[in-house]
Formats: sequence, C-alpha cells, structure tokens
Amino acid sequence: MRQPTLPLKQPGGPREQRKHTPKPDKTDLYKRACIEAFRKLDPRVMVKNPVMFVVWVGTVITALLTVNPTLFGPTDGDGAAVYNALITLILFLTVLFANFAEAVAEGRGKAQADALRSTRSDTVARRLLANGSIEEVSSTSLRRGDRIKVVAGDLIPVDGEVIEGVASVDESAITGESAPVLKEPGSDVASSVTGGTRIISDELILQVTSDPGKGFIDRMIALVEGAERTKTPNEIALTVLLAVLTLVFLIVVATLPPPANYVNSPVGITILIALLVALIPTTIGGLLSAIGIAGMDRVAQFNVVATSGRAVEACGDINTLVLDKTGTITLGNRLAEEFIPVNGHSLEEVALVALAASVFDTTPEGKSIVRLAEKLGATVSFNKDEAEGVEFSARTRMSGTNLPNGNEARKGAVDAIRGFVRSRGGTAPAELDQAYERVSRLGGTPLAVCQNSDIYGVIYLKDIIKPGIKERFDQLRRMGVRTVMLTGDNRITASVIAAEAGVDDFIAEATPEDKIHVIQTEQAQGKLVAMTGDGTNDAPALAQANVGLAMNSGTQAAKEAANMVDLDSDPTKLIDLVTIGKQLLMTRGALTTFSLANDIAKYFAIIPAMFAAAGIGALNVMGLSSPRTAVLSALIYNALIIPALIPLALKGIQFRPLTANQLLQRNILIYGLGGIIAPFVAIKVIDVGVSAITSF
Amino acid sequence: MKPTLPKILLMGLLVNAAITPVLYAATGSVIPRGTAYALGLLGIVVVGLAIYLVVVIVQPEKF
Repeated sequence: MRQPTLPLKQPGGPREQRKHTPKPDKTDLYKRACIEAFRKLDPRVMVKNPVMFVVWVGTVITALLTVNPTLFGPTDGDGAAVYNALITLILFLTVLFANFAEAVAEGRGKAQADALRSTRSDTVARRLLANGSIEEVSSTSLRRGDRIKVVAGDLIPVDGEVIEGVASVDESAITGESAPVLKEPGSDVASSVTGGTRIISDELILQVTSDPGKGFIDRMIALVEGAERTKTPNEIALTVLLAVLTLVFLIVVATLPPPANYVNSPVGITILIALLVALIPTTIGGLLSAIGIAGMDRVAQFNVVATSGRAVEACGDINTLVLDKTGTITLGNRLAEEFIPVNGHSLEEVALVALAASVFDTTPEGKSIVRLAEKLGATVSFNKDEAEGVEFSARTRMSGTNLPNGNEARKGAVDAIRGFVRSRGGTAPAELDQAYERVSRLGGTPLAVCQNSDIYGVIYLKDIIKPGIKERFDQLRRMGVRTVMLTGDNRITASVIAAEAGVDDFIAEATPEDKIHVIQTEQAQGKLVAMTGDGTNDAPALAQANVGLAMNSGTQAAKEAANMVDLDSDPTKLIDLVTIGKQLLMTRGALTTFSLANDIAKYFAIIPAMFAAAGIGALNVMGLSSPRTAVLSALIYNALIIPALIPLALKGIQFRPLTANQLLQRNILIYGLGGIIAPFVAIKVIDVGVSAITSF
Repeated sequence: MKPTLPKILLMGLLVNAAITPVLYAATGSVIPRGTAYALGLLGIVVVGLAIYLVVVIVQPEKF
C-alpha cells in the first residue's frame, strides 16, 4: 500500500491535519479595523508611511480646492467644486483603504494577543521562604530566583524551572495541545514550565526564571500584537525604493506646469495631484506593512513564536538547513526489529542478555527491546530490586544493568561495547562486524549486546523515515536550499538514511559541537543557516544560526538563544517555516512588481488627458471619453486595487517550490504583465461607467 | 531645537510671508494677493514633502 504523503503546496498540509491551534476571537475584526482605519488618519501616524502621507497631503489640498476652487488661480469649465470633491473623496478612500489593510493585519495579531492575555491573570502564589515556611503573595510580586510551590489545580503564575517534584501540566493555553505534559527536575526537556499553564496533578517546587512582565506569554503577547515590530532589512530597502520613486515623481509633477503652459495646455492643481497619486506606488505603499504583519501572523497561526519579523524573513533567505535525524527526518521512536546472534550464541541467549541490559531502560527503544525479548520467550531471571541500572550517557554511549550476581549486561554503540569487552579481557568476534554492517546497510541502528567479556549479538533498531519527507527535500532542493542531516549513528547507517530521505549531505557520529561547526562552515561561505534544537547544549548553535528554532519542550537556555520557538515541539516545522518565509518575500516582490507595472496604464490615461490641448490625442489609446473622466477613472482604479489586493496580501501568494530564476520569470509574467494589462481593462471599464453617470 | 509640528507650521508661514511679496511682484499683479499667498504655501508644502522624503531615504528605519 502506498504511504500517504504530505501535500506539496501547503506548509504542513491542510489545517485539520495539524495539531490544534489556539483560535483567537475574530468576530469584530472588520468592525474594529474600520474604526482603526479612521484613527490612523492622524498625521502623526500617517507620517510613518511615506507614500500614503503624500496622498494624505494631496487629499487635504484637494479638499481646500473643493471649498474654494479658485484658491490657486482661475479654473476653467463648470462644476470644478464637484469635480474636486469627487477627487478628494477618491483620494480619501485610497488613504482609508491602505489604513484598513494595515488595521486588518494588526487586528488579527491583537485578537491572538487577547486570547493569550486571557490566560495571564494576577493569581496568588505560594512563595517559599528561607526558613522553609510558605507565604501567600500576589504573582506580580514574584522575582527571578524566588522559589514557589504549585499544587494540582493551580495556574502556574510565572515561568520557572522545576527543582522538586513530578507533576502533569496542561499546556493547552499556549500550545493548544490538550494532552498533559510530565514535568520533572533535572531533565533537559521537561524541567521548564511556562506561566499561564495549569498543573493538573501532584505538586512542584519551582524556581522563578523571569521577572513580572517579562515571561514567555508576555513576550508572545508583545510580539503578536506588533508592539515590538521593527522594520526588517527587506522592508527598509523597499521603503527606501518607494520613497525614492515618490520623490522622483513629486519633482516631475512639481516641475510640470512651466512646460504645460509653454504648450498652451495649463494644468490645474487638482489634476497635478491626481497625476502624482496615480504615479507614486500607492498599491505597495498601502499594503507593505500589512504583508509584513500577515507574515508574522501566519507563523503565529502555525503555532510558532518568532522573536522578530527579521527572523521570519530570514527563513525565506535560508540556503542551508541543518536537521537532526531523529524526530525530524525519521519518526522519533526507533523500535527493535531483530536480534542477530554472534559468537556462537543462540537467539534465546541474546534475547535474555538484551532483556537484562534493558530492564531499567525507559526510553522507547529500551522498551521495544524488552518487548521483542519477551516475545522470544525471555524472562527476567534476577531480582530487579537488587540489580542496578546503568544509564546511557553521550560519553559512554551504552547503558545496561549490573546484575545481583556481579555480571554486567550492557548494550550500546558497537564501538563502545567492543571497548567495554576489551576492558574486561575479551575480544570481539569477526561476525560482529558483519552483523553491524548488515544492520547499517538496512538503514537501521546496530546495538551490540554483551555480558562481561562476551559479546552475544546485535540488536537491529529500525528507523522509519517520515512519509513524504523525500518530496519535501526535493522541493527544498529545487528552491536552492541545501539540507544537512546530523546523526549520532555510524557512517553506513547515516549514508543509507541520507540516501533514502534524499538529504544533500550528512554528518555521522555527530556531537553537539559538530552542529556549531557545520553552521560556522556554511556561514563562512556566505550562506544563511537554519537549525532546530531543544537541549542546553544546542543553545550556542541556535544562537549562531541565522534561524534557530527551539522546541517549546526544550530548556529555557535553548528557548532564549533561538529566534523562534515552536509551541508544538515539532522539528519538521523548520521546513514549513522556510516556505512561509519564502512566501512572504514572494508576496512582497509580486505586489511591488504589480504596483509599479500599473503605472504604465495610469500614465496613458492621465497624460493625454492633461495635454489634451497640445494635440497628443493619439496617446489616448484607451479611447477614454474626456480628460476629466480619464483622471477620475485612473484614480478610482488606484483606490479600488488596494482593497482588492488585501486578501492576497494577508494570505500570501500561492507557494511554489521553484528556483529564484523560475520565480522571477513567473512573477514578471503574472504580476508584471498582468500589472500592465489589468489597469488598461479596468480603467476603460470604469471610464465607461463614470461617463455614463456623470456629465464630465 | 527639536522641530515640533507647531514650530514647523510657524516657520512655513514666516517663510511664506517672505516669498509671497516676491511672487506677487514677479507676476505683475496678474494673480490676486490671496492666490499668491496660497501658491507660496503650496510651494512650501511641496518643498517640505521633498525634504520629508529625503529624510525617509536617509533614515528609513525611523518610518
């Protein structure tokens, strides 16, 4: 049967297939955005958007001309006041639509912030004093370093580190995941708790890790609300481009009257303002901030918290992805598939020693070894209370049990076990290498099993590659993103998995230090690198990477070093974030292209109208009825195109896994050529309508 | 001195008070005095917008 694959075009697949996301209340979104659009007319706010500020000033001037049409000199023709009033109204709507686009985008973030804010309330906390007694204080008076006690049913008041106790915590308020999470001290991934979550069983002693107002939820609220929103490098570059274009057109329009007078075709101030507004890139000027805010919002809806828009944007520019094998490329839990006896031992003997070495192992791998051994008839033949478990460590790379009779049962990396056996005076049989190679060639992880100086066999731990991951890597390759897999496995296993998953490069037997080394090497070649991590030892690499995605289940150090935190703790999301980042950049590029291409049609509408008396009627290619309707039509199109593009700006253009060149060609074809043709058609249609209902 | 909105408006009006008589004299009374003041102000607004746009180009991160 064919395994289901992830859809290629949408990050993470359809929404219902993803984990639950906290859903903000969006009922009054558009009503509030309308009110906000009027509030943003304040010149102190308008001045932040150069293109729209120029339109705003133009609106004020045309409004004055509506009140007094002869303000700047005599006017020709009748109905100048009505005409000026119409122009004023259209310009006003242009500004309002741009404000509305920004307000809708901001409103979505604010709604999410409100949903989060509801989880943060002032509660009573039990602070532990130095003498061991407990005093009840307000949660706002807790400071970093304080110790508090929380019991079942309590809302955890602040972010903290578990120092005593084991308890289940419901984190659904921030992650949306309803299954409770076990929290215990000392563990790398389960010892940090977040303020606003609820303890549902037992009790914990916590050490507070953040001062009031600086906790995880507070930071999340500030981010989604846009309070800390600063312009990203791309936005700054685009702002400069838009300001330059606006300045150039301002100079062009301001210096137009003398030549116009010279050709006996004097131009009124209203028409000059109309020309200026039609020529400056109002579409992208009005939608620019909405695109950026919507990009952040898409990331937040994906249950990822980005520390800045810069991080989201950097995702789109990533050249290299450094991925851990386990959990990202393969399904997290490797399961024991087979025991391979060596050294003349029987299958039953291997099962017996493997069981003995795994009775204290609580990892999914360890439990699967116990299950397989029991399936083969093996039973624990010693008193577990008298035996001693030996935990796995990155240094020894093995674990096992010291049996009551003095025997030492061990299982672990083949090299580590070989060393252990040698230290006990034994030797490794030649068959061990054959078994090791056989398992590795199947893409599995070989674990050797020994007792004292005798190697019994090899356990084949089967790794399952996530369905659809190969297609995702193909997609990334087409976009020019290189993937590097890091794994603690041996070279043969790593190469088999790498080939099966389709990654571009791999590093076998990797240590945490290798991660930072890979990142530095790639960055030295001028590349941007993204990676995921959850442990404290990942923190330096997370900080070094251009995009560091920390898991919410990870340590506080990892979360602080990273510039993004995934609330669902799913490392595969890094791939989706790259597509979201690229989508953001593509949307901005496409709308800029469209906005600039629109100028051509507007030029052909307004210039013949302005110089009608100069005998350039041949330029009126659209056959617009009169100079006045031509100007009105161009401005109406200019205003209406902004709300028409709001959904595209908020949703982002459809993502396609193509190379930069292919994307450029496609964008130029659709948004460039489309941007030239669409306004010709639209302005003509509007002109027919305007001339039918007015007498201009 | 920090340029606040009232100060900018005052400066604009003062500059206009200097420009308008020149404009009025140059046009040889073809345009009424009120129009000359309005045109002077319009010129100042245009120059002001140009200065504002130059500031945006130089310090884009502030906008």
